[in-house]
Amino acid sequence: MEDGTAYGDARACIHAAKAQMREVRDLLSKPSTESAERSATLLREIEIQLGCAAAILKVSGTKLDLEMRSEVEDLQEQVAVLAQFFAEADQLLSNWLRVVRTRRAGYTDQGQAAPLVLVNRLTVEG
Amino acid sequence: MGNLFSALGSAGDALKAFQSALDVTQNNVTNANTPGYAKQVPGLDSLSFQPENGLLGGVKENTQDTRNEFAETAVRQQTSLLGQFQQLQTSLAPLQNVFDVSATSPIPMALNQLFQSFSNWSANPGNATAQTAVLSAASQVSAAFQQAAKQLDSIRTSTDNDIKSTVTQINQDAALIQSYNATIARGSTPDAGVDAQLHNALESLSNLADVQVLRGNGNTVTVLLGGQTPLVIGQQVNALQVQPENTTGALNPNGAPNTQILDSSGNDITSQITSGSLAGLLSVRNNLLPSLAGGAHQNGDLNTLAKGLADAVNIQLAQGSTTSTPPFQAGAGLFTYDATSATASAATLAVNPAMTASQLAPVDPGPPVVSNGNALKLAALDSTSQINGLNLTQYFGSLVSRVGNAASTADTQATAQQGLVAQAKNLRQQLSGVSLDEEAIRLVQLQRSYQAASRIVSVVDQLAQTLLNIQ
Repeated sequence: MEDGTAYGDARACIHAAKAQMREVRDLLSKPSTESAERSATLLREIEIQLGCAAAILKVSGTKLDLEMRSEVEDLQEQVAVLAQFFAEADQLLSNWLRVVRTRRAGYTDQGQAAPLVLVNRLTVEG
Repeated sequence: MGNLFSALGSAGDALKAFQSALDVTQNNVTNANTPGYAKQVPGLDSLSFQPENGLLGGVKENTQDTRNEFAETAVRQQTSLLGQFQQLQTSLAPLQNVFDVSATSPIPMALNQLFQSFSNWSANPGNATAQTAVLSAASQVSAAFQQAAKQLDSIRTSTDNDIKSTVTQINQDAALIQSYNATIARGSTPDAGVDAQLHNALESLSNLADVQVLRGNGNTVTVLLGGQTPLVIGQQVNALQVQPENTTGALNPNGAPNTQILDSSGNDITSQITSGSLAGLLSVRNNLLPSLAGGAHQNGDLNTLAKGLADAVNIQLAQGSTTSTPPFQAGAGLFTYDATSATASAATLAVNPAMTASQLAPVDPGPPVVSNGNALKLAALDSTSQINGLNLTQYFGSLVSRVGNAASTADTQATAQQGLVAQAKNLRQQLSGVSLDEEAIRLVQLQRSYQAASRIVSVVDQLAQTLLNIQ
């Protein structure tokens, strides 16, 4: 419950950050460039909310109570899950990109996937 | 910790969905060159986020292919026409060998030698060598006609066999499509592999006959032949049959009957087959070949020519005389043929076995009597004898021209049609084909987006830790 004090302002920031975190997870369930970019925007907003909460608490000299500490820990766990998700997604994408590169452009002399040279194609008829 | 596990579970589901999406990429890359394969596009629907029920959201996979039925139909239509024209090219090639206008081809060469032998004989009617040369040339003419008739008969048999094997192939393709329909009906979700095989079979079928494809219940297909006759309905196949037509009451009941295609109920559906290689075969078998070699409904121009030549020569010989003084002795007929069958004139054309050199009648009894007058008239028959307003050589030329024009048209149409098929396939490739470049670009874009988001996550984590550390 918000009480209009510095403590209440910090709680509101953390609640807002958690709501945005849920939105991020919803977005990341759709593997598209658009959802990833929107997630990045939301994560920056979470960063701002948490930064604000930390600043308010420091300035007012207030400590986290147990309830708020639990909420921040919960948020941190979700951040850990996100980090895991991004790491595995990066690994999967890297592997697939290598497969596509080898199918499309073959291998380098060192046995690596050859870099792709993507150019616009022209079709002339007549 | 409960929240952590559920959060991990939800993230795990998201990763599974992500893996599914990459599986689609894998399918696209693996099947880039698979005939009939249409690019699959990953689509994921979000499940509702209901924390109060312990549901932390998630995804439901909803992969959709990019197959464009309009493009598929266009490819099938153009392929069907290409099959028809290519079949005509193939079937007309041996006919062009029979009806060759060059001086070395059997019929024109034999006709030329016969009239040349009449001309030589007219210069010296009593010369035994010249008389024998006439009989020999007549024998060559009949041999040339018999050979042509035999070749046409052989082409007809070969075309009949091709029609049977094509219909067998159509029935096999229909059975294959039926089996894919059964697989599709059993599956709960669309299978891109089965769909690719199905469309590949449909394209193969369209090369043989003109088929229309309708999507039925549960994504199975109904295949209509000529837009009317159901060949495959869901899991049921209505096989086609080949049968010679009933010639009762026809112009030549004993002539070679046309070939009919019957549906599974025994109805004649020949006229519904208007494209595909089967249509090309039927066109040659039921139209062009009877017009040349004869059949139940027409005598055949080769028979008309053989009969016209034999009758003209025999009548002219009968009007002449073997002696130049009375009593005049009419000449015997040089040629014989089976007069009871209008379609057998060419095949049975022969030199009268009872004919001897002395029975040739060179004399025109006049008056005035001309000792070589009838031989001269025989030599001029090539230009004076008329069939449908054409002399004998011109008449044979019209046959050659008909076959040559048909072959030339088929060549032109096949060449143009190849371009149209390529264009239709190109359009389909643009709509449904897999582009490895596109797949690579998609992966690179995704990876960069995730990497950008991932960098912010570490900052958020540090801030959360900062909050927890505030004392």
